[in-house]
Amino acid sequence: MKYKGWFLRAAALLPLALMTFLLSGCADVVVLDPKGEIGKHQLDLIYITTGLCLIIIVPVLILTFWIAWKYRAKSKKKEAYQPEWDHSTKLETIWWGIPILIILLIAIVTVQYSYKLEPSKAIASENKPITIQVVALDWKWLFLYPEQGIATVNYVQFPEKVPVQFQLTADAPMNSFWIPQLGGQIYTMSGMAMKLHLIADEPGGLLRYGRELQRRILRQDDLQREGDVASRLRQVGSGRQAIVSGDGPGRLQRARAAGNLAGAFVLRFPCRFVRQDRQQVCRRRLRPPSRRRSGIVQRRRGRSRERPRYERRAGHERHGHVRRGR
Amino acid sequence: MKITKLSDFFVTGDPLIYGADVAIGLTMVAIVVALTAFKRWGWLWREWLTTVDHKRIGIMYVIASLLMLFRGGVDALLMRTQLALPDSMEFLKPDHYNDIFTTHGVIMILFMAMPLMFGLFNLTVPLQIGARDVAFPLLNSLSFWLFFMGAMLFNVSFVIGGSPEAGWLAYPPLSEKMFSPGVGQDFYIWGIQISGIGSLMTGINFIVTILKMRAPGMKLMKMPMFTWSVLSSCVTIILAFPILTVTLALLFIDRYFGAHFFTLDMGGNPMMYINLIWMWGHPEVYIVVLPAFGIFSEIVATFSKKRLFGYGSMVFALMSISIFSFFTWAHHFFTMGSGANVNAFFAVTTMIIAIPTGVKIFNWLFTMYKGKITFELPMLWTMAFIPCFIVGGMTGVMLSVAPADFQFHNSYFLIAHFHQVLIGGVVFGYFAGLYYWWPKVFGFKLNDKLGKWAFWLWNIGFYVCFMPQYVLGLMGMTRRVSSYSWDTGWWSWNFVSTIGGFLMGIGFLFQVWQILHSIKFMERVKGDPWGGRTLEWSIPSPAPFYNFAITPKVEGRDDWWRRKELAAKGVQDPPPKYEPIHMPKNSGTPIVMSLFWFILGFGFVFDWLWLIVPGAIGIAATMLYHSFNYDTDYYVTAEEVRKTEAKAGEGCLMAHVAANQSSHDHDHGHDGHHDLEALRTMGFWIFIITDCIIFGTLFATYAVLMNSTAGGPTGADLFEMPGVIAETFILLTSSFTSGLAVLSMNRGDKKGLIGWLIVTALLGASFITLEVTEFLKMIDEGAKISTSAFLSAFYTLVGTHGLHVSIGLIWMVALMLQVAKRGITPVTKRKIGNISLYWHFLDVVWIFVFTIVYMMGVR
Ligand code: HEM
Ligand SMILES: [Cu+2]
Ligand SMILES: [Cu+2]
Repeated sequence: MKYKGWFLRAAALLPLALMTFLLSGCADVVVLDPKGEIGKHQLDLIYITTGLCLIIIVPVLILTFWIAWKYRAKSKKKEAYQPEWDHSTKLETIWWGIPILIILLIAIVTVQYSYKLEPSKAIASENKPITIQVVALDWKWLFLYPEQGIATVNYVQFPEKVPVQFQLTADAPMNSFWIPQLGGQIYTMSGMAMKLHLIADEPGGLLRYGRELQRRILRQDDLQREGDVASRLRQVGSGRQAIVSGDGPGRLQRARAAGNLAGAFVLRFPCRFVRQDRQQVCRRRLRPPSRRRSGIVQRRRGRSRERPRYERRAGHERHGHVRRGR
Repeated sequence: MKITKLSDFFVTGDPLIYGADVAIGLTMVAIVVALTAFKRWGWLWREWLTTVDHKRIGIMYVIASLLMLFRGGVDALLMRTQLALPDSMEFLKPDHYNDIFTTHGVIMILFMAMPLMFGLFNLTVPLQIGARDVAFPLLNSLSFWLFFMGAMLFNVSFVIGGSPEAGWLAYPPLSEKMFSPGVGQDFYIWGIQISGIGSLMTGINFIVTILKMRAPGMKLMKMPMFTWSVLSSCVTIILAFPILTVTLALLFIDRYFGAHFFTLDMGGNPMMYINLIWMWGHPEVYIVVLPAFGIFSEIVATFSKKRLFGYGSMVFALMSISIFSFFTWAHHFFTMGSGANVNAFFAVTTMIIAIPTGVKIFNWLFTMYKGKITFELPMLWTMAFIPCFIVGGMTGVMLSVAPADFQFHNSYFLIAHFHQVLIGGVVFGYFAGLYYWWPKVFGFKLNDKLGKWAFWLWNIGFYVCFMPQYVLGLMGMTRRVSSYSWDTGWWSWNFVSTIGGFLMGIGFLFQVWQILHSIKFMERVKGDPWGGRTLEWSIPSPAPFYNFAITPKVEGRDDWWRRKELAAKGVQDPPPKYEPIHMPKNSGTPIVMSLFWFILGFGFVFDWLWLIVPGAIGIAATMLYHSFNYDTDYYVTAEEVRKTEAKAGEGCLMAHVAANQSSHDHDHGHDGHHDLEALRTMGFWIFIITDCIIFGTLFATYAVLMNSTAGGPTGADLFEMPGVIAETFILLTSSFTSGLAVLSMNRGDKKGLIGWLIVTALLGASFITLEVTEFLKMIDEGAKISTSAFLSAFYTLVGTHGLHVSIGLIWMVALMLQVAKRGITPVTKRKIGNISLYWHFLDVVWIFVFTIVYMMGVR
């Protein structure tokens, strides 16, 4: 027990040392260095709430070590020892009060920002917003530009200073769509159309991150499967390219030439390939399984063909959540 | 699943798995050889496998959970190794990585934290409240064996059939057959389901134990804080676990019968699963952390040599946390886009939990304030916990700020948060508890020096491992990725994190070494090695099998401390007067029944009817065997008690101080059945509460899905009211006749009792017949469980009710036979009372089914 004091001090210093270490590497910390309005607001919010938390946490941490140190039995100075002292209404009121106050403040800020940063709320801007539809497929992202009439896979590009309305859904297991530089995240879920509004204040991505950007700038967060991107890419052998369906790259080029997407914030997604077995799964799904061949079901399927799938979903939207098959 | 080749059955192709195969094989052979060589089979069976002694069950829980900690820890280190280096690393293939993060999460929460927690409940609670055992010792043993078999079933998937790989909460549609066609997901469902039933029963058991079996004089507000925390945790268990049971059952029904609760097509609703699983999942994290709070409260008071500060606040905080934890679940999916109103609501409810949690910290600090603190191992872990949990709580509050969570969710920031509260709170807490109560359980102390090594390795390792993960989250690294590229800039942080992970691994090895070393060198201790304050320290270590030779009489909080002070003042006690002690007999029923559950689960995993049927029959048979078995307890003679005490007492004079206090108190303790029957009735009522939640959850899913007919038939197309009204009439009548049966019983009229029971059973049987006919007709018309989400919900809800009625019928026949044979005794009286309660309950449920399903359905 000789070295106990040393232990305690080390334990206290360790997190501190680590904190400094952490803060020194800020350059790459994209959440703390946002490139768009939404992300900037979210960062403000993070700072405000962290600050409020620290008001209480720092003193408590200090108090912890101070009390443990001062009232250690081995202490040379004889401190007051009051084994029966177990209640004080005044003190307890104080430490119910302080957390209640702080949490109240955080709660007020949170509620305000919840409305301000509601992802489905459009962003005010002089520029006309563009719409990009996002579909999470098994292992890859599909982007549709309805106004431009183009589609891309694992690659998305849009102009700076123009609000983007992402309309998101999935045709596979759930996924989550996140551009940390621009602001937070929303799920893509089958049978539902979500909205996410983001804006880029400056061109980004390509220039800054070079060849490897696709895995860098915009990460696909596969909420569930999280198998991995890179090694799958390697298995297929063409990791680096953003894959665009059909003559996609050409189309994207055309769109850009048309001026609509000039000076764009270019984002490439890591692409995920459909493995052999996954393809089988997909194929099996497209063919209606035998137990669903009843007349009723066929009718439903027939009806649903009238409009393209994505539109059908978006069209049925009801406060963000659309149930399929009603 | 059709097994055509051996390689469909055994997992092949990975050297790690072959290694595991060999290790498992060798271990099994070694165990069998050792048991045979030392002729220990009988001993194992008599002393351990069939024991109903809470202390031994506790030890088995602890051993099993430490083994699971080892497996979960190996999983963790495999993942960290894979992530240590970018890109080039192909240590784990992506699919294997998926397996491992899934099993890691499940094992750590459900097969490590939960059983370790139950182990500590068992080792401590009866001793703290001055009880001879838990309320239902046999059920306790069954809970353990169900946990054990569930854990085994889950772990078997590593070498047989393939592991689950859809994450620890198995979100659909990924976990549905369409995307997870293998058996791994079924192992997940059945492993958790079987052990979950055990957890639920433990919850009931400890609630009754704590409410009913406290030593005389121990008012609720005189209970030790750990006991309070167990109570709050168990209340949360009985309210939350039924939701898990239903959720997993629905997923199973989807996968097995092709239903559409959570599928992409036919009106299924995956979002409903996410809601349901977190309605259990969030309370679950508090279920495991509340007892840790209790442990810290005991330790802080003991090692500060001071009373716990703010007892009332602490109790209030515990209880309010367990209630509030039910209103925060949606903070796990702020990003689902439910809108600002919903997000703001759940953000605020989540933050509110931080308030009582913070208050507890202050109370611990002020317990230490003006104390005399010694830093033995339990206190060291407590000191490590406080700052760690403060920071973890703070990041929790940051996450609960919904719009900010959009940037944290699914990233390593979140991973760091929950590991900080789970390791810094739960694991540190349970370790502290183990170190604290170890001498009580085994009668010797754990080596201090090795323990310090383990402590520092764990603590330094923890910060080195998880602080970088906060940064990685802010750098955009998402959870569940198995590799990343060099240019992300994540490499150095990940590498540091991996080092931290291994430091904790070495810390664990030091603990194993510490235990082995201490077993070898045995520093024996007496009853009260730490200067304890509560009753468990008043008896010898290890405690005799009946715990308290004489039931103590409690006068204050920290009663043992009070008595030591009295003794120091020279207050003398009269010599002890021992009396016979009533004890439960050991039983093989729990382990045998759990084995049948294993068989059943394994059968369902592979869809092998030849295993499912014997499994189900075996479960029913053991249950009936138990129901007919009246030879369950015995008396320890006063003479034997005297001898045992004298032997233990040589080392532990203090014990008598406690014992003698209540030698003239006869209102509790040895006297048999009257007390016991009251306990059992209470337990049954709590069971009915859990069943209410099961039906409530089913009604909720039905309400969500009742319009999702996917173009298929609606209620109006299907339901034929005359038949349903007849069913309703029959069931209501049967409730009435079961009431008449009870009335006859109370008059002591055995013939009338049996007669009315027969009438009730016949009515119940005709209800079931009508219902089955109705179902068959609907199925014949093409309205199957797989036709639409509406029909899935309909068949499941009404079918669950029908299943309850059917089980009730079998039970009723069993009881008639017992009454016929034994007449009206306190035991049969209680049993008949319970079944009649059950029957009325099913009637009430049916009234809801009738109005909500049928009446609203035909409109
Ligand atoms: C001060 C109290 C706490 C607050 C305010 C809090 C808040 C949160 C929030 C908001 C999330 C969701 C974050 C997200 O998914 O984006 C979360 C996740 C989580 N928390 Fe806490 N938490 C607290 C304490 C705890 C405790 C005591 C435990 C466990 C003992 C715990 C375990 C977890 C786990 C396991 C998850 C994530 C599960 C998953 O996504 O797989 N938290 N917490
Ligand atoms: Cu939670
Ligand atoms: Cu949703």
